[in-house]
Amino acid sequence: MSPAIILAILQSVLGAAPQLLELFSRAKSGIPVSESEVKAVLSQFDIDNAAFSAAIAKAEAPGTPPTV
Amino acid sequence: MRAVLLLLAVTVLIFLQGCQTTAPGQAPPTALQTFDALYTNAVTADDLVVKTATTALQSGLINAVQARKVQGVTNAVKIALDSAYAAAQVGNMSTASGNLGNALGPITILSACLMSKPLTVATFDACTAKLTPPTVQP
Repeated sequence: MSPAIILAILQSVLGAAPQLLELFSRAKSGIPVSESEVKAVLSQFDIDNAAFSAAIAKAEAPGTPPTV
Repeated sequence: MRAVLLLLAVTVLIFLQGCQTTAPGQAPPTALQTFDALYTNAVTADDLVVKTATTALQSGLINAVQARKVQGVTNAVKIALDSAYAAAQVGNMSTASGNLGNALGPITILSACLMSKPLTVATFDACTAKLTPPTVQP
């Protein structure tokens, strides 16, 4: 596994927990979200979900060694 | 386990309702504004699970079958969140809170499983053995 991949995983892992905490702290602060913020989040989800689908398709492609 | 997570989610929601703070001179947020913030950040949390799972798949830490299961759950979570959002917009806060609470459990489990160390195909299988998609209240 390359250092870049390890770093990417670490960043994902370290980033996930604060985001989950933000879920509660931001709502607690009472700061309203704008419609554009909602749209941006939804758009980002669709983009990342499409990338996830592509990664799954690539992993399922013939000739790809199975992960044990 | 699922019941405990649901209880935790409901507890957090009750906690949030009871401890909202407002800056001086600022109108307190409405229930709908608070819900919009919860919805937006819950979708962000769901998105982070998607991104983390993508990286884990590309790194060979989970396999394609597991990734499909994750995507099935994250998509179901998104549907539950969207239903919650739609219910909140028409003032049905009971259904909105119920669907939001149902969605938070699987997100929490998936986040914990993807963060577990060591993360391998075997540990992820064991961690997600009882993971089920959220139920959506109409």
